[in-house]
Amino acid sequence: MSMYRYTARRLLQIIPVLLGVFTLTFVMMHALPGNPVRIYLGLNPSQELADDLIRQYGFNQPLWQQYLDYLGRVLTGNLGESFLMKRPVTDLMLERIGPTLTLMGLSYVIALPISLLLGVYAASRHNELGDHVSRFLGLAGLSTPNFWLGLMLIFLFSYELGWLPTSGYVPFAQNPVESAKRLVMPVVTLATAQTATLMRMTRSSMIEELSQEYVQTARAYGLPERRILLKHAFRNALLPLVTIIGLQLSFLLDGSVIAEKIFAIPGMGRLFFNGITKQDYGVIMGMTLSFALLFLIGVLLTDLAYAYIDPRIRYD
Amino acid sequence: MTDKDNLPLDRRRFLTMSALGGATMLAGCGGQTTDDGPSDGSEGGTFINTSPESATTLDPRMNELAWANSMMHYLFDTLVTIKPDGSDIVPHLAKERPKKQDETTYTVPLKQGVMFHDGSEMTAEDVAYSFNWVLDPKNKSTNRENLGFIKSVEKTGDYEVTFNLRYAYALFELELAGMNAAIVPKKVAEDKGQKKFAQKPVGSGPFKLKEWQSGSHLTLERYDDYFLEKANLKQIKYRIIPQAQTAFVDLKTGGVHQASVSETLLGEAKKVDSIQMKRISQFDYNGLVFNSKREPFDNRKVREAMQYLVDYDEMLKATKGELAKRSYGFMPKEVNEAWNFPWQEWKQKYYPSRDHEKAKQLLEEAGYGDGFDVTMSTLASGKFKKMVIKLQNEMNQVGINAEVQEVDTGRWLDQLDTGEFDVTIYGWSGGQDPDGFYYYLFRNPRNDDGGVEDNYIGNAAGGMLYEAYPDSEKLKKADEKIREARKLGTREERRKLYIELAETFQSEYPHIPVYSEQSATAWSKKVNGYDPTAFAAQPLCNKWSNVSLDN
Repeated sequence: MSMYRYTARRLLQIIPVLLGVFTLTFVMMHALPGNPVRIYLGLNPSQELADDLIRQYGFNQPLWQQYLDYLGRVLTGNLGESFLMKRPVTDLMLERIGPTLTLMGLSYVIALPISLLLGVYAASRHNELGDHVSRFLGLAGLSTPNFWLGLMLIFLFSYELGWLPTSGYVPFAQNPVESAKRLVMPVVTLATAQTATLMRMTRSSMIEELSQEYVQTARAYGLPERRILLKHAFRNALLPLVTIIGLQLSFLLDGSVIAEKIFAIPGMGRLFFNGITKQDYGVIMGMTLSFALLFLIGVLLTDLAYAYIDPRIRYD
Repeated sequence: MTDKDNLPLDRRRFLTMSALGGATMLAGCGGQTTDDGPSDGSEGGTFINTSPESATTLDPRMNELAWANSMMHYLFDTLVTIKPDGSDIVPHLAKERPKKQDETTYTVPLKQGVMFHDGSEMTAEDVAYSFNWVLDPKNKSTNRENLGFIKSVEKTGDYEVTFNLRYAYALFELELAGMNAAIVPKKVAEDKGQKKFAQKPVGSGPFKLKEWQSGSHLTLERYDDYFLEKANLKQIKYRIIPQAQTAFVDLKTGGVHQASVSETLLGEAKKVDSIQMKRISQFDYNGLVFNSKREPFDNRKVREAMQYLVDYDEMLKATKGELAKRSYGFMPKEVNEAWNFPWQEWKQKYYPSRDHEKAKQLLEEAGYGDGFDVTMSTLASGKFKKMVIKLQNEMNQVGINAEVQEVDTGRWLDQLDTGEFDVTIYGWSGGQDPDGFYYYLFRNPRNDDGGVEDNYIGNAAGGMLYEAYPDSEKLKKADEKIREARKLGTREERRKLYIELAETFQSEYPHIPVYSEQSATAWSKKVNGYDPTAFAAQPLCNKWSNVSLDN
């Protein structure tokens, strides 16, 4: 099967998966006690107003009917309205996608080369001091909670040293310098755990490759170690790594919720979080579907990348 | 600037939080020069405030969140406003205070030459429209109930409106000062439609909207044609900073001018020279609710025993530290003091110190000497959880096996509605008038016009008592008194009724009032002439002060 046909098939598979995500999210949302109207109105609401709003939003209808109505709207590209903000969810997401993608993109761009370099280095110095140090750093990075690291960075670089502005987001196009200054700390926060995970994976993957017989043969032939490492072993070690890199996308989404809160970045993570706490159905559904789509595309790209890295992989 | 971690407290009664608590500073930028120098010498600058959350709408007619009113008070004006010390109501957009024609009819003459931000003049038509829009059921305004005492507002002259009330209402003028009663320009509101108006509001306030990006910031710009003297500040910007620590560091490093200080940062804040800090009462009341419909709390003696179980001063300390006061009589201390209620007497009578022997004796008398099992539900939020855990510890000591169940907001509201709980927590902001507490917490909702659904208990404490003792004459009378107290005219008569009500309900121990919150707000010393108070919704610019910034 050609790669094109494979891609097309995989793209089509996204549809039932999204439908599944939709159904599951819908069921879980409604399994929670209460509804957005109830939470919006809080304690001692006017019964009349509550009834009015519940009718207006159709929460009094049987669940299956609400499900079909909602599905119908989503299929026509209408993700619905935020109950709290009375605005289309798509608008809200578009407003906030910039900061989140910037944050995630930059963390990736930084985490990837650093972790690969460190991983390869550690593997090449297996059980030597350099390896121990990088392993320690990796473990430390992995065990540091995002929110703690974020706050510590703020206290150090803003509070004590006064080098960086504490929080906020400035679009790059508006003011590149201010934008960069505000992005340093959140990006470092997100990239730290990312780097640590990828570094550890690279290291173990490389160590395994380096113990293969072909490496020993290459060494016996007197090939330069550098060439063995980068040309031969690294290429083979990349395969399991690519999988992890694709899946890491979801962890980045997680992390951005916290980074956005601490550094006051108006991104999608915070929108999602607020949506969940207030049971804002439109926001929850819109965000879940978009994240799911993003994730599925990430996985697809990963799979496609296999072929490029390893010509032995066939698509059928 | 308030604690927004707990949703139930978000929805405050506007009655006073915004009427008294809010509108006070509405009186316009009076342009009094500050001690620091004449206002024209330091014109301009952007005052940067912080808020942990974004407003959901900028249309005061549809806003449910009282804290968001503090932003809207700069955009919109009201007919009357309240003095900073809360002592009196003064005309604002109105030329004079409402003139009483009879018990339920008032005329209000309006000022001439008040300009909305779009350049049109405010007339009686705009005023009548603003009220009638909220009152029209088809607009589904969340504020309709709060203005429910008004039947209609008529234009009775180009600059005069007449209010027709459904009943004589003691809090009429107070309500007119709140953001529920904000005046919007009819033409703009109609042309734009509610949803667009909520995004791009037009009012007559000292500032107009410049930019609003929900989740990020709200920027307001000085309105030069304000009907009172214009503001010194060029702009007010609210930055949304969800994390308290981040906002505090921003304040300390000069990134923002004002931020609220959480309890854990109080000590740190006191050490910072460049800022000053003030405590602001929240006029709320938080406590523990015992389900009087269920065993064993259907027994009054068991409920009373709970009062002896815990040192509630200590519970308060563990929960809110310095940022709270004990509350008595189901009202905050400030209300008790303002109304000169005999709260010290109540304290003696109904709030004994911790005495496990006495508690055990009461339980014995009630037939629960061997203890019992209960489940206590709490929101996962820290402050409420600490209260419940403290109670749990004490209960275990007298042989009551108490389990703590953490619930989310939806579940918690559900439990309160249906009475499906043993013990739970409660928080309510009622404002400065006792009505804000008694009417909402202790009336029998079944006697409302239209009533309530059968399975709805609502009104946690009060409602539960009525359900538990449907034949109680004492309670029936109490419900009547609550309804009467909001209709009576004189303060003295109302005061008498509220004292009787406080006695009635305290002697039933339906719940234990624990504390009223205070928020600590801190601001940069570069800000001149600034004095936020519990009443000050618009403290940056009003009749009494006009803030300026040092460079």
